[in-house]
Amino acid sequence: MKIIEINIFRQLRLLLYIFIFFNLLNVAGILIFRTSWSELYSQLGFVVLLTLICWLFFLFVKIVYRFIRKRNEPRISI
Amino acid sequence: MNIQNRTEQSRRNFLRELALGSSLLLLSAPWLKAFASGEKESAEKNNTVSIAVIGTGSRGMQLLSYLLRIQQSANIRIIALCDNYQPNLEQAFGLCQKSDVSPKTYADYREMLANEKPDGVIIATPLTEHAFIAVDCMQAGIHTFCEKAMARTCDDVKLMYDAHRETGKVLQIGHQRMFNPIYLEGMKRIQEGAIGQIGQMRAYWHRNNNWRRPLPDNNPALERQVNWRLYKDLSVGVLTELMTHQLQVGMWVLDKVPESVVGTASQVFWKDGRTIPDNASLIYSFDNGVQFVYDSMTSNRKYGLEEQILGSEGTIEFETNRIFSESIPPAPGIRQLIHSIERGVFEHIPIGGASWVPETAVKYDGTKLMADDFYEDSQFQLEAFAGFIRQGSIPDRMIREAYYTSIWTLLGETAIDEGRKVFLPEQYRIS
Repeated sequence: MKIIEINIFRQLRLLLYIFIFFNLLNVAGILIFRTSWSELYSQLGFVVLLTLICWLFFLFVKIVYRFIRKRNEPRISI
Repeated sequence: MNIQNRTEQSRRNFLRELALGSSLLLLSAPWLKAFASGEKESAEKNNTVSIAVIGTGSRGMQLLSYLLRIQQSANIRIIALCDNYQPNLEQAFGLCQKSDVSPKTYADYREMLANEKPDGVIIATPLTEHAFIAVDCMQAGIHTFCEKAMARTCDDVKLMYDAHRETGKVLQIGHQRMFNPIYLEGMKRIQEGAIGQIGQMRAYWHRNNNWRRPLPDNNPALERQVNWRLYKDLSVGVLTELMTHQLQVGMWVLDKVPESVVGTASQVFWKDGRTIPDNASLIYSFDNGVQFVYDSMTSNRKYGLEEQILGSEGTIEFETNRIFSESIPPAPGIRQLIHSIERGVFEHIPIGGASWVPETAVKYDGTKLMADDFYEDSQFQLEAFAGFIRQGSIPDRMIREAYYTSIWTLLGETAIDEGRKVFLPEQYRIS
């Protein structure tokens, strides 16, 4: 049986990057479509939701990738 | 203070504030003075208003239960009940007794009028009986509340109106939407121009049931008495029972009376011996070119009921308590951006494009007119009736609107029966 190790700090850093990315996307959306700056906080829930979805997707892809690549190793670090 | 009392207080405050704070609203709903004239009413509120109920069938029982609910707050005393069908009368009396009220009971309203002197009477009998009972009550000096529609014929409607004018007694017709905060708020927004210029009004009432009530002991002799709504000599079916409420809303919106009506109706589904049609479509036209387009049916209820007021800048849907703007607020920037990225990706896949996009309804939830979706407007109208009795008068516009609503409902029947465009006969025009 393989053991999957999840490095908390690495994941938190990834989460932060994704969160920043979607906040920048929010700013871009406001600038391009000339909507209100209040969307920076009114759309925060949507930004957090996108962040989580994206992070889970990354995690899933990473696990599958590592799982296939390091098939013979008993311990997989994510 | 319990929840019901709190709701009660906030509703009364709402109506009072609306009426006092907005001359616009008083212009569109002058009957709100019944709620608004706080000082005068509170001074006279010590005078108990005595009420009698004539007709204790299904609607009469509903009204009676509202009266019992507000008897303390509105200082009402129910002194007599009358119905020529004994089981209904007993049931109504039983309901009163549960609230420790013991009114006298009568099988004949004439006997009741001879023995009692109520301040006001509530008439909830079959349609053909409204006129002569209401006229007798007003001539006996009693303020009268009568269920809609006013009567079965235009002549009877006129008779009731004339009796009101001659006796000076209140004649209030059961168009409860006049007292519904959602409608009051909607009318205020319309007056303020929130939906621009009104181009058309659409209304419908769709049900899916046979509208037939079970006969007590399966006694066929009671068929016409119980199911009077199904017989053309006693009722105009969906027109007098349903449409009349919605046509009143249309007239209220425009503060106008229609100029003409065309219509058609047929029996499509319920072919069970009834003589009224089970579906109907009518178009009422006003002098400013606006139409009130109506349809009703009793074999499909997907669309339920609604009154849609379609303006150049927005739409109001009263029954669902919503207002929609023609210029839909744009989606937040990030959502538009993601959508355009998504569209950019998928629209570059060549799968052939549509040369025409159907102009389907815009999917947009709009906003609420009022915080709550439901108000007991039937109860409010009875509170208002008590107020009108104390004032000794009713706003003229209110009775005029009810009068013309009933007249035009019945003219709708003429248009259907004679297959022609019908205008208002001069003898029914009131000054």
